[in-house]
Amino acid sequence: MADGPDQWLDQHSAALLLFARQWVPSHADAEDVVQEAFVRFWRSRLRVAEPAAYLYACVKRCALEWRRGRSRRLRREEASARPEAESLFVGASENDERRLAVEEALVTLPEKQREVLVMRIWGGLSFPQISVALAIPIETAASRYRYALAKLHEELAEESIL
Amino acid sequence: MNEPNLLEAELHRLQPRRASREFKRSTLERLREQSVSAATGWSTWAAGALAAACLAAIMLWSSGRVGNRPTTENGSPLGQQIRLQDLDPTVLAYRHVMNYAPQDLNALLDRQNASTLAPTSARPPRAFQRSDVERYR
Repeated sequence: MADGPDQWLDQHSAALLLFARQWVPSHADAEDVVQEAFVRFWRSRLRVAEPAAYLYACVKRCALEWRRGRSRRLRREEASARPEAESLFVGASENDERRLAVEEALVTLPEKQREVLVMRIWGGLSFPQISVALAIPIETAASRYRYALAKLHEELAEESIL
Repeated sequence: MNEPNLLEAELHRLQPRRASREFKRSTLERLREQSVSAATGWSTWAAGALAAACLAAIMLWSSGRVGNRPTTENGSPLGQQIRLQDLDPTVLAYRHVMNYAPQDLNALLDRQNASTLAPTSARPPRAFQRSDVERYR
């Protein structure tokens, strides 16, 4: 179990950034959000039973605050100024096409399914931990995960047919 | 259900973009600043609490001394020991009785009545009393 902030950051930052990217447009913005969330988390991590789940909850809260803090006008400007979306994943160039297809399919997922999928696959959280982080029943977390996988599979199958 | 499992495996193989070095450095820096400011805030709070406790102790000690000061039978402080029998029914006497011995108020009123309603034969007959002269001068 990671104890110091270094270890926590090494272990979780990449998944947390991916998690935050659901609500913020760029990797740099996601870093700002995750940093703020991590500072808040670190202050009160000892008072919670599931620190990893609490960390994800902090990131979501900060991301939503960040999004609310931006005016719509500013967001429109950012969206128009950004020529193409930044990639969510890194990988070998030979897999770029498939990776982009997965990214696009991931973006089409409903937010509630996508956040569960990210926490489960890249965050390594269990369903009980996800249920704590999102304040939902464990069965709901598990079913959202299954729906997300099914929808991704469907999207990617259509992509490969085309 | 093999296809979702394959998909899960494929998703696991994808690596999310890592954080920049600046991110980790600045996050750790913020944590350090936070711990320093928390320690400073704690010491300030502790010093304030200590000062407040000392002040409260001094106030309690001084009020305890006043409270333990020996008093007369009618409750007035020893430094202001006054016997009811010695009092003329003056404003000062009423103030003293109201402050320290309200139970003696009736006695004081009786004494005032006795002094003002005393038989006139006891006093020398005068057309004008000195006090009246002084009052209307």
